[in-house]
Amino acid sequence: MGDRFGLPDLGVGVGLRTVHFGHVLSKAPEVDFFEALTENFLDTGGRPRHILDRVSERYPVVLHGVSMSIGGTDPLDLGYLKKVKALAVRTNARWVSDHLCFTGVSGRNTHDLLPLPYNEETLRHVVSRVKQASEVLGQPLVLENPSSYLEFRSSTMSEAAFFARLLVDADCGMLLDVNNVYVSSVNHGFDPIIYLDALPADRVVQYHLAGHTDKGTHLLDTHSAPMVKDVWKLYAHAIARTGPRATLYEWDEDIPDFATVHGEAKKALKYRPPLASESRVDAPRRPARA
Amino acid sequence: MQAVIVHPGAVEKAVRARSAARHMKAAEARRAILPSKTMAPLERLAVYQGMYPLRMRDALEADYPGLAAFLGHERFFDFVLAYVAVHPSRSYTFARLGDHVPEFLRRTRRFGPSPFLYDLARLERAVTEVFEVDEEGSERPSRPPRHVAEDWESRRFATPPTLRLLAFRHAAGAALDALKAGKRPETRPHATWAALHRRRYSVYRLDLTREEFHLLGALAKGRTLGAALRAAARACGKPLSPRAVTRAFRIFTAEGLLREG
Repeated sequence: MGDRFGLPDLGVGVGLRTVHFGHVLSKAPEVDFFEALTENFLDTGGRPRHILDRVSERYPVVLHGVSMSIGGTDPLDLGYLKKVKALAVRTNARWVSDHLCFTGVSGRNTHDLLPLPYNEETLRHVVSRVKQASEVLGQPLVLENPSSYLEFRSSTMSEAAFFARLLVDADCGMLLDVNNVYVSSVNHGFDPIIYLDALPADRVVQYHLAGHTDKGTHLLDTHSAPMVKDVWKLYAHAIARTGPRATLYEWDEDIPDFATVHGEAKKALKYRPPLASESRVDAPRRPARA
Repeated sequence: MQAVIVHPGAVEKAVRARSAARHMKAAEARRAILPSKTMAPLERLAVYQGMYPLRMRDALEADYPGLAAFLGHERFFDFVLAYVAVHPSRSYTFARLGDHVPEFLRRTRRFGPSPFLYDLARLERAVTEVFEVDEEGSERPSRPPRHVAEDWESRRFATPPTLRLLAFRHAAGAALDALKAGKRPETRPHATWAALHRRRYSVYRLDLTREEFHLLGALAKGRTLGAALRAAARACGKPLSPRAVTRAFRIFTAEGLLREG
């Protein structure tokens, strides 16, 4: 249950969102860490960048992207990756994550996390691209399991089996979103506990927690509500396997006040120990390698 | 898969469309996706297809709230579908999605009075641009110009890097103010001028007279005050009165738009 890549347990954090900028700066709430959505801060020299600079001076920060398209067939966007690296250095980001998905083809970006067929050909393709991205970033890429609404007939292995091999073959970390596991398990009809147990525990760097919406025929990952009991049970199961890992609550639609979001995040402390104050002080501030 | 997701029609129509069939026939597409207990293959694909236009709408509405308010919910959604069909996102960021909106509106009358919408969209695009512009030094407090009378004609001034000057054929600024207040804007032609700039990470709009617009524009190009006054006079067809010049400098200085060059 060691910390893969020596990356620290950052405690319990919250996603940094525009509606909370004022509160975070003026009240300086006691939060273990913040996660910033990478693309929102890449090309701005205005207020968002200013806020992130101030936040990263006070709190540990991790970067979470949605546009790397690591499973895509277009060449990786090296200009984008270099900008991500520069932002990671600027904010002293503890790690950089994105999703196991593709976002578009032929230069087009649908800005969605589109699922991949899980087979040997895709695995070879993604392993190669993760290695390339990690090389440019100067640190191991961390990948999140996306929620998905369809499966391909050409898949020859489960998503969990695919992830387990990818994490080892590409030498990368995992951002385990337990709500996404739950959403996909209902949509595709698999056992989420079997999914969690198939993952190499020492590769899990971070957890995501969030709420979803029941659309009747399927669950939709909306980040618009408190997390349901069944997903908390999955989190309890997963963290018992991996040991304490950085845990972050995402709320992206109908976002309530900061205290409410932070309150949801802190429910994780029922299942994992709080970050010891000395750990907070001594947490290694390792920048992305230049 | 992408061709179906970005298609504006129903999913059954989308899989048969030429753009999708070029890559995979409809029957193959149905076979490529597994059904779930509750949904057929194409219904599952439709989940992604349904979310695509909503995501595009939300992104464009964030950058063009005035345009969205003017067009109303349904017409704005129609506009989004038409726009992204011609100008789909090709960037890792949504910030670039709306780059072509003013030009798109200038070329079509489908969504309302084209010249007015063009002006409104230009103003909103410029607000976003000024908000985002990467200029580390732009937030420094300005050093107001010193008052020295004898060398006034040869004096040069610096303007903030975030300064943008805009000339409109319509009262775009007043229209945006009206739309934000939930009122109907005046859409008849009426020439107006404005300066946008950023201070303490907020964007400010300063409505200008024609004289002020040309004077500030010439100063921003690095011309001396004497040359700038002559350029403004040429553009306006008459010399600027001493009173107009005094007023202009009082406004420019108070807004922090002029620094010692």
